[in-house]
Amino acid sequence: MSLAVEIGALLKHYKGNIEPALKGIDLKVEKNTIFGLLGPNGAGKTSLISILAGILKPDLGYVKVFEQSVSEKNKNYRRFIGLVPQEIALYPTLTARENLTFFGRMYKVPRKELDDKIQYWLKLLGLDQQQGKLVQAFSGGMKRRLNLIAALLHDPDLVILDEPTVGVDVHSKNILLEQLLELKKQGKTIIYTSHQLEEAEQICDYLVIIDKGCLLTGGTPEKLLHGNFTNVRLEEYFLTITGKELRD
Amino acid sequence: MRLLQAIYKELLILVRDRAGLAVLYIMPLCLIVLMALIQDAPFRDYKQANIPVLLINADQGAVSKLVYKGLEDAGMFKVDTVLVKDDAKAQASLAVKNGKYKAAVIVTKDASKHFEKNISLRVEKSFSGFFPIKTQIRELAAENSVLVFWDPIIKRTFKEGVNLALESALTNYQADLMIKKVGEKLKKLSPDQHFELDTKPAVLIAQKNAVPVDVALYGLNSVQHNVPAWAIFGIFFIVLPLSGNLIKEREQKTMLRLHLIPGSIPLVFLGKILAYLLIAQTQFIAVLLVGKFLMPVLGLPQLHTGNSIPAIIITVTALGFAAASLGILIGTLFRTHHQASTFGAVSVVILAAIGGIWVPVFIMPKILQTLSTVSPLGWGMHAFNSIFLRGSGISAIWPELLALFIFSGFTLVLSFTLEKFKKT
Repeated sequence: MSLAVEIGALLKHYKGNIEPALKGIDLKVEKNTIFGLLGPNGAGKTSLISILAGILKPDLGYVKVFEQSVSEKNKNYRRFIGLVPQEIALYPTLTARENLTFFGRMYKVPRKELDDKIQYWLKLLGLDQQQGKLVQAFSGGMKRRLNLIAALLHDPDLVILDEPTVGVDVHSKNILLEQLLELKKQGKTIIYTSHQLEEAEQICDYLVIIDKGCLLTGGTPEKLLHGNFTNVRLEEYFLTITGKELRD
Repeated sequence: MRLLQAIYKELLILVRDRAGLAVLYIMPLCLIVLMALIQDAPFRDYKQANIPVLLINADQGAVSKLVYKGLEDAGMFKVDTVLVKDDAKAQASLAVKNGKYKAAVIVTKDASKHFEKNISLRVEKSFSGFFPIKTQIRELAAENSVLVFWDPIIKRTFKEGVNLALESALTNYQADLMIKKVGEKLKKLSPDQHFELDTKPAVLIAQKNAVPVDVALYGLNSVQHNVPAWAIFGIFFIVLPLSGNLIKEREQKTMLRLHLIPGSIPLVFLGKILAYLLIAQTQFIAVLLVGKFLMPVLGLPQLHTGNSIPAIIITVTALGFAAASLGILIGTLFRTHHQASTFGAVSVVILAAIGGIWVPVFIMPKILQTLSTVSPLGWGMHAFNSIFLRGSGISAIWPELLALFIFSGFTLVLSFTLEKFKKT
């Protein structure tokens, strides 16, 4: 089994919080899979992927990406990662193409290759006609698609998506999910967090549910649902193991 | 090249924020014009002040002529004369009360005759001891031959100017008259028929410029102070949009994306600094053009920029670099626009005040003069005064340039450290 990500005994405690955000998480993600990270609000999903991407420092534990240790000293692993943050991490007063050119050039993608990639992805995600428009004039769905492209220009082997379909219309969501499957076909590993349990069930090869900083369960969608319960929906299973109280 | 891309991105963002860009250029231009106009009068040399003074001449003799000449020669007064037969105190009082004149000087009737007679009597009295037969000589009682009515709102310095002009004129006249009378007396007593009292000055005063005349010491006037001063303030004003820009990068999560790209944060910071440096340079060119061409149209003196263009360029670069670095630090230090803009504005205003932007440092209290040595705006002001007023080049302003570059380096290192710390 070749691993894309290996996380061991990960602990993160934010100053001022009583409970740690992550309480010793252990996780392994196989290469070339779509890995779903599910959990209610405040479960620790964003903390986990922030540590994975090297944006946040854990208090304890280790993270390896393609066998390279994620640490302040070692920044090599970063070129393997493409992060699609939950927010639209783009410049609103630049056009779609200007945004992509900037981020691509920052990743040192050669000019010609970058132009071709931008054209390819814009066309694939239905934005080629809008490439000269300022991002602030885009719809929510268009921004989400562009947000995804910005993370793919340097051809990362591991793509991390933090709730990429939030506030997106059905058509955009469909295109985004199709592209995740396409990325998997290209041999990439995808870690994906979502509240949309149905879509996770639909596209993920492996799912884990975390809550209150702990890993509650994990497995393939089929195994997770049919192995524990008989023909329940993922949503029911999710509520059963995380509880029904509100999370804000 | 990644740095060029980072600069290009910043410039695109700046250009598309037209209102923000306009403020960056229009604000310093408005400030320099307004401040130069407002501060023109206080900055003017007394010789150019033209304070209206009424001379009421009831004497029509040597004293009134001398008072007129004394006031005229002082150069700071516009003297109107009225000839009257009596003392006209009521007329003088009214002329000042109704605000037309700041002072009214009355030279009383027969003041010249009284003055001359008194001098003659004093000389006679002084020489009376030389003769065996003593005569009783009684000096005339001193009278107020010159009266001055003041407008109560007049500044003490102007009052002193009038007094100085009057005293100087009358004292000189008294001395000249006395010497003349003594000379006449000695000539009578001397066996030498060609006796002449030597009245040539025994001491001469020589004056020289501290710098060669060809580098033009234009002197500090409203334009020479306000143009560089508010241009520096304008350069430091970029602290506000730059810190806001950095906070926006964090809020819109583009900074998060950049943190994932190895080596991009220093490049993006440098890109911002260089883009805003370009703004500072072009802003300064606009300010210089206003100083050179618009100020004379507005009736103000023309800005003189000295002889060293390289010194101007490097000073503006050092100031722009320092301002941009401070903007980066404030943007890194604070989490919200409100915090950054409040702190940025207040800190720039304080640094400007102690740096001699509002008023020259040399007229500030001692403690503020000492404090001014820690203001980067003060370093810039000092450098520009050296370049513009003393005709200095880079060799004379290197301590200020060094201080500005050290300040920039220090703030940048602090910003990178904070950014790294914040990330975790």
